[in-house]
Amino acid sequence: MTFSIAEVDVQGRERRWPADGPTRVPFWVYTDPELYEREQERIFGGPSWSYAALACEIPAPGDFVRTSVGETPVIVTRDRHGLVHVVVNRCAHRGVVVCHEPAGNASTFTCPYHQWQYASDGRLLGLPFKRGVGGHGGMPADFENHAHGLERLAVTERHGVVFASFDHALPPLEQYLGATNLGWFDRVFDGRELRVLGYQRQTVPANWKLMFENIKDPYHASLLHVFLVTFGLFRADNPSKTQMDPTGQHSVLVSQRSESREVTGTDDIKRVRADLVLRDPRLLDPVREFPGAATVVMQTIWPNLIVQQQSNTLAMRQLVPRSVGEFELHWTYFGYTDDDEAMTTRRLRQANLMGPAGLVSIDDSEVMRLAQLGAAAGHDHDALLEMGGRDLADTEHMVTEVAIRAFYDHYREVMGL
Amino acid sequence: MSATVTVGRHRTSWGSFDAEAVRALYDDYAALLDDGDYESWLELFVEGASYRAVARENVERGLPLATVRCDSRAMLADRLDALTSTQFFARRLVRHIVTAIRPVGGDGDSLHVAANFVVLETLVDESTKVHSAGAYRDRVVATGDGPRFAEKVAVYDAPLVPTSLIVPL
Repeated sequence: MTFSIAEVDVQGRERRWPADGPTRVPFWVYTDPELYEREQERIFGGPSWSYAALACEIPAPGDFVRTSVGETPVIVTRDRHGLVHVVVNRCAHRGVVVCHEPAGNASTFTCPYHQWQYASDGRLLGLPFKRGVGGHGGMPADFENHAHGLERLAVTERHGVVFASFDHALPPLEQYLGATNLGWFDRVFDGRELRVLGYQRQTVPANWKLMFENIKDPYHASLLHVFLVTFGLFRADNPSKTQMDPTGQHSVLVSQRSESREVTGTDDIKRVRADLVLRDPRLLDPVREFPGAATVVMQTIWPNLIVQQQSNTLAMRQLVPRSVGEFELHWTYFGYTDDDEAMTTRRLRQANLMGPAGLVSIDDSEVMRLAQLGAAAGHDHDALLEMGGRDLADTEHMVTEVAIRAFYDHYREVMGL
Repeated sequence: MSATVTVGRHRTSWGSFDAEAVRALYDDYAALLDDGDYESWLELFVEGASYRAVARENVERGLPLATVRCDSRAMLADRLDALTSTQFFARRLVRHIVTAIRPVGGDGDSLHVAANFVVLETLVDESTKVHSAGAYRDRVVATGDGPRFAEKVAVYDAPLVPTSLIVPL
């Protein structure tokens, strides 16, 4: 489908990207409801691989889990042959949600309204009164079940991670991620069997893009996250780098923990609490588990996934946009089936850093709320992105906003802005 | 003093615990949290106590992840240190409403107590909203200072937390 973004929005205000290009983001990208609707079509409904689930959430035939691709509710299923499907959770008849359990096992899905029945792969198996009752009614003679199944998405899976797309002509995930980001993806998803430890979910009263910006922004992490800085987990003087794929849509932020409490190279980190010691050090008890020196790898995969590896806490953070000013963040924490009990406990304890109650991530959800409030009051103003320069190239430090610039460079192309 | 309480058709004894003293523990728990007196609040737990806030869906699905997991009073104190000194969040008031406090089991040394909770949250410049509702599944032990929490599990009902969970449930 094609449409052009008018240069004037419904309220007659100008919708034109600022002249300074990638170093500026107009605040209306966070607040314009019409633009948000077009994001649903062009981004989440367009040529993108959205994260859907971990394959280990649906290990057995008939297993399913409910989730969303963009705003669209979907069911991720495993059929009796073991194949994974992603189908829209909306009856082809009158649009009723056919699956209302968050997860479970079912050989078929039956719409509660008129009992249309679907298979795990979305095929319409049957409907009551198709041939009428006592010679009355019934569907027209040319009604074909196969033309009225649940809408199916294209599905791909890599090392236990399931992605889906409304675009059935997308290049393979490996090509979509690009070589560098695929390499980082495979570092955590190395083919070992995964085990889900549990879920945390939250609503954040902010535009969904602010979440991506947050993870693409190492500059803030050294300043806002006093807990991380205090305990050396993420700091401006740590060795680090930011790497994008060639399009700028995906990126990875890589860093290495400091063993020293002393900050070097700057006096600007003022809130560090050098006096703070943990009364129970088991709260932070990281051990090295991946090859290489990196201890933090935060990867953002367009359009809805953040893969989190901070020390030993691993999670998929799935973005679900709900309106122009609100998104949900669904955290699926996981480990590996070959983790020993000590490692599982360590992961569960380190989960204290993250999620809606995270010692670190509370800072982010709170700041995103305030960013949205500010953007809503600043239609004629732009955000400034000049830290680390004005370019879009990979960097070897964290005093930069380059990954946000690259993200918006790609966003503008997709959105025709 | 011993008393009994009726829960559905089952009758569970307070055992050797004083019902009023256990109820007072819950009153203090709510009042101290809502007043922000975290030092005194921590004293309601024994040293080896655990505290967890858990989404109901994880309990139902048999998954071990909590949203807040403190395996000792010291770890809970670390969390409160972060709350008061390192975390950034918008100023707010919370009110814990605790009801239906009742014994649900136990042995001679400890009492299993269940209760319901509602937490109301008021952010600066906003109206009061329901933050969460759920149930406590606790273990209370007798100490020289009266009953104290040895285990506290706050199971919150809605999977979605509105923005942040800052003050313990």
